[in-house]
Amino acid sequence: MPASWLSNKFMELGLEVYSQNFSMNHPLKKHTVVSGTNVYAIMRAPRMASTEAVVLNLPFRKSNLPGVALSLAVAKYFRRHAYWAKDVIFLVSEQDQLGVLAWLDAYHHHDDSNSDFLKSSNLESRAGSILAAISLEILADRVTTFDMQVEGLDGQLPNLDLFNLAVRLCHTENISPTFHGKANHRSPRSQKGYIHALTTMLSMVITQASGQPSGNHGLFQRFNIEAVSMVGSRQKGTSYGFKQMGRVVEGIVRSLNNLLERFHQSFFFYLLPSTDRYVSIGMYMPPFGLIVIPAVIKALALWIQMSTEQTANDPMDQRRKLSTDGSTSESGDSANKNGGATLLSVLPMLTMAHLMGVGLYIFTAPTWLLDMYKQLPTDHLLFYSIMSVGAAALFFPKLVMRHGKPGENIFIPSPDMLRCVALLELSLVLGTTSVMNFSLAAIIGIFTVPVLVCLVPRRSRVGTLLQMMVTVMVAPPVLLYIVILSSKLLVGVDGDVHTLAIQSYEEMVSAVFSSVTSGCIYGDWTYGLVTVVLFPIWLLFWCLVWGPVEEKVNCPEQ
Amino acid sequence: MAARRVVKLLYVVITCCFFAISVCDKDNYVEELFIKPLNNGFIYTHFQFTTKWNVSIWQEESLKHYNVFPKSLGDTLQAFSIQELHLTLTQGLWRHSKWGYPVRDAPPGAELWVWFQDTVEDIDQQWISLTNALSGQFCASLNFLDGTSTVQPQLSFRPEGINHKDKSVNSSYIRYAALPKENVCTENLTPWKKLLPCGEKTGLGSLLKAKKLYDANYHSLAVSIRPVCRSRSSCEDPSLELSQSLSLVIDNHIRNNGRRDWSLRQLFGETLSGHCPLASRSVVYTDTTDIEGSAILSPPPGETHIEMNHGHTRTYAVHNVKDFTLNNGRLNIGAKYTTSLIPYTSVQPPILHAQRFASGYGQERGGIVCLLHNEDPHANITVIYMESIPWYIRVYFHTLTIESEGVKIKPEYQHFVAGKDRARPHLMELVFTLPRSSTTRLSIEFDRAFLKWTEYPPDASQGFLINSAVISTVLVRPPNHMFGFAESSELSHMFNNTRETYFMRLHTETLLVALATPDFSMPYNVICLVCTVVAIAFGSIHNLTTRRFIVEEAHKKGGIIGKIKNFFRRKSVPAAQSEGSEIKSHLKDS
Repeated sequence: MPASWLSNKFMELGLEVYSQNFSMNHPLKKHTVVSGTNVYAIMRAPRMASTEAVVLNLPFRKSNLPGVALSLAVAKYFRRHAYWAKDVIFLVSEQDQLGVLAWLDAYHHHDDSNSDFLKSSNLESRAGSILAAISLEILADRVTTFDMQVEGLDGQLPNLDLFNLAVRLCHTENISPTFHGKANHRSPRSQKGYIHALTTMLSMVITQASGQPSGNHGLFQRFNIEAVSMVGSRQKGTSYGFKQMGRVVEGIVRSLNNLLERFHQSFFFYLLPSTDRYVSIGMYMPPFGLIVIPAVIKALALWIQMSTEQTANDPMDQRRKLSTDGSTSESGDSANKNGGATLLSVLPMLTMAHLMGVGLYIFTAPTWLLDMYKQLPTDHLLFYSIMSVGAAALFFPKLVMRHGKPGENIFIPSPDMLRCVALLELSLVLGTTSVMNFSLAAIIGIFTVPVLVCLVPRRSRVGTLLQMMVTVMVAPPVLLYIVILSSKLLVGVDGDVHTLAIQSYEEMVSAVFSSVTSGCIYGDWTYGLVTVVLFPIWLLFWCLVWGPVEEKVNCPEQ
Repeated sequence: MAARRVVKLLYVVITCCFFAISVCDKDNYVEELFIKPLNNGFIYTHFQFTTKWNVSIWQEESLKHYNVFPKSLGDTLQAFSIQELHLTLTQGLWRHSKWGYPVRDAPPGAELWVWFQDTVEDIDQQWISLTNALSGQFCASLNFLDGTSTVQPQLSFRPEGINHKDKSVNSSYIRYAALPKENVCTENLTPWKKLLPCGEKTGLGSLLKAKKLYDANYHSLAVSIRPVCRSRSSCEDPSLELSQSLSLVIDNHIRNNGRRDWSLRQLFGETLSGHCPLASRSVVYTDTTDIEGSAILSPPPGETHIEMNHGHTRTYAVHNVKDFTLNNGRLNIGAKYTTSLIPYTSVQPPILHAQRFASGYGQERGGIVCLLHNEDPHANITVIYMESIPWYIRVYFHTLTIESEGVKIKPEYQHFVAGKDRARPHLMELVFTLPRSSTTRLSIEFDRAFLKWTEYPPDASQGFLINSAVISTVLVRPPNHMFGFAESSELSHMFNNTRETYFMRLHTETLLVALATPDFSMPYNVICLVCTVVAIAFGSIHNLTTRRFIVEEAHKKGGIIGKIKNFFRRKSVPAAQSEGSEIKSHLKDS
């Protein structure tokens, strides 16, 4: 980056200019150092005490030179006016999100964050708390559309007001705002319109579920700064030059400048089927609840059933049970004691499964291993190492259960109790995840809950085999593959099935790699969630499928 | 050299004359304006109006016959037994690293500190009444400076004037408070202007037109009253000095469409038509050091003053308003530059400057970090650092660390007063030494308290401001700091000053900290409602799942006691009968 040239340009406009160097040792690739320079210019608002600021971020790339040029023009224009109430920071960052992370870390003096990997120099000057940020990329001298990107780390979203603001201002300049590359359909109420909106929303769901930011805004959001990315590009149709683009940017920054308070009292949880419509949390949560609730109900039913059975098995109560028509809502004194014991019997297996998950999370990327096989690209190597641990975990039930049947060995819980606990944990995890990253929870819920609720240890070999196949289908890596494949189908790729499958596979490998890397550098928890929580839950069900059939089981479903 | 000596001699003679006159008069009023072109197109102007009244503040009978001194202030002084009063109302932040040092430093917002006389019994009560009185007088929200924001600093704020000769300084008589959120505008300027003997009718006061003043980047009003020595030679009799000052930093670039030239008309929209007849002197000083050679001052100054100190030479052009406005002439001091483009450069920061910011993000933990830069390559600087932090910011004093280039610095003196919820703020005063040419980092961590829902201001989501930190120090005469305040507030005293060291006070940035704020809106109500519904649902489901239904046969229980029990149970649960058996529910904790 021509840092000194940029600094001079900003300084000639009368702005305060500073720069920051940073370098990162790649957490997975040894001896790979990524370094760069951020240049930032602060335009001080007159009459203000520099307590609040707005950031205009420009990722420095060859393709974004029009964006940098626009920022200089905008800065010159801004300087001439006296209406500023907040400092405006022009941040030209290198290395995409890494540069932004280095700058924000230093800005907030955030010492403890990943200093093993990322080293950055201190900032010479600051401008108070940052209220909002716009990350601007302009790929051509004349643009037809501005694509809005909102999804941040772990599916975090900016306040909807900020998104709406950017969309409105694009409309006023006739530049069409798009979302995931899709403009609004001309007749949204037609069938095609609905399908168009659905595919737009699904692409948002898939991006959000990945937990990876779609642009530089994701890092701002991590620091409690509302941010969106805008990518201007030229497509078919009337294009607009720097004047209109500048007016859009000026409008957004000035609107942010007029903010009296931080963004609040609007939506932070939403799905967008188009740029001018949204699905609020009140709309999407009830269906999601309906997806998850069967797991809870099933778990409760199992619990009650178990209590009943224990009563029934108690010879003292046998007679009484007969007299009350075997209703499930009755139980004996002994159930409490026995139930507690059964619950405890799940604990060893539960702990072991989760320990395996933790092990998978921690030892995912032994750098010595990645170093040893240099002939393979790192992402493939990482994927193989994860998959090998995962494959080893498939033998977990065999390992645990080779010494007998439930009751004989403390490591072997009764299948019903195992099922009950696993279902409860699944619904709990899905419920909590849905508040953080709804899309992730929804995708997992839609695919896994119907399968896992129906799993029961079967006597017949065919039944067991069938169940195993279904269970493997919802295993985290397979699920990931399915989602990537279906997202490819959604976009509509031409080519035969074979290339599509290969492409999806490659994409999965790189997705896993980037998820692990971003977990290390940016500190997001999507990979951690999958390995430490979801994978162990899946293992429990896997055990259930493999496990012995309980002799006493007398489920109504069977 | 000879000419310069003559000028100097002449100046001394003139000052002595003024001096003699001032001794004869009971009141002496001086109006002065100082103009300094700063780097990068900024222009600093400082109006200084000084009234000196030869009375003793300690004699109750003396403040009776008013001449030039404003009676409204005199009454306030007397009513609240004040020894010293310093009030500043500031809009904007003085940027030391770019602009150097101002004549009088002030934090953004309002700052008030007062030394009471030791005759006052209940100082806290007196302080409340005083802030209310001043609030009315200056149309500022000073009445919010109650106990929750008032501190008693021990070191940072000492009397600026003289003290009663029989008494020692006792810091229990000082009160300091600041209001960083205060917005300063015309409603504060108007009452301030009314205190001037000539108001805005004539003299330098006629330049004070609100429209132009509030277009400036930095705007600071100050009023300070203190007892001073009656003359330079003897301090037997005290006088009362009222100093009113107005500082402005104007961005000439924006004002003047990119042109560099400036003039009084262009800066203030007015020219000077005359001096205030009540003023003994009416002078405009212009610091021409940095513009010499690149600009021509018009009209040419009556005299030029050259000040040499520590190898630095500064040149001041002196325009005596009276001389230039004879015969209805108008004075419009201005500078014409040879090159019209403003060369923007990075500026050499002054010897001592600081940068303060809030660290951390989100609403859980946070910290205050202050970076103090000592740019002096030869001398260590000892500073007094003061923070007064509102109670809802829970500061952990044990997390205080001061380090310079990796080396920990132990404060030489510490004074902590822990805050009390809804009663008093935290106060922290530290004395430590900044090593030469180094950056020292002071950091402290805090938690955010929860406020009661009625305690939030209407704009709660904006965040809460923390006062500026105050850094006090004594500097060996720095190159771009010209003013000593010891004897008199008059700017003319900056010349021929033989003092070696200068007391200086810096104010840092105010900080905006977001507290956890409830969402006072419709979704908030919805969440409350949903939570209630969930709680009810949870209760009943929990009840259902943990309740056990026990089958109990009516005739099973034997013995008299059982029968009696059965009798009572049947009465209490008559509906639970069915087919000769009772179903009773006992809620048991599983």
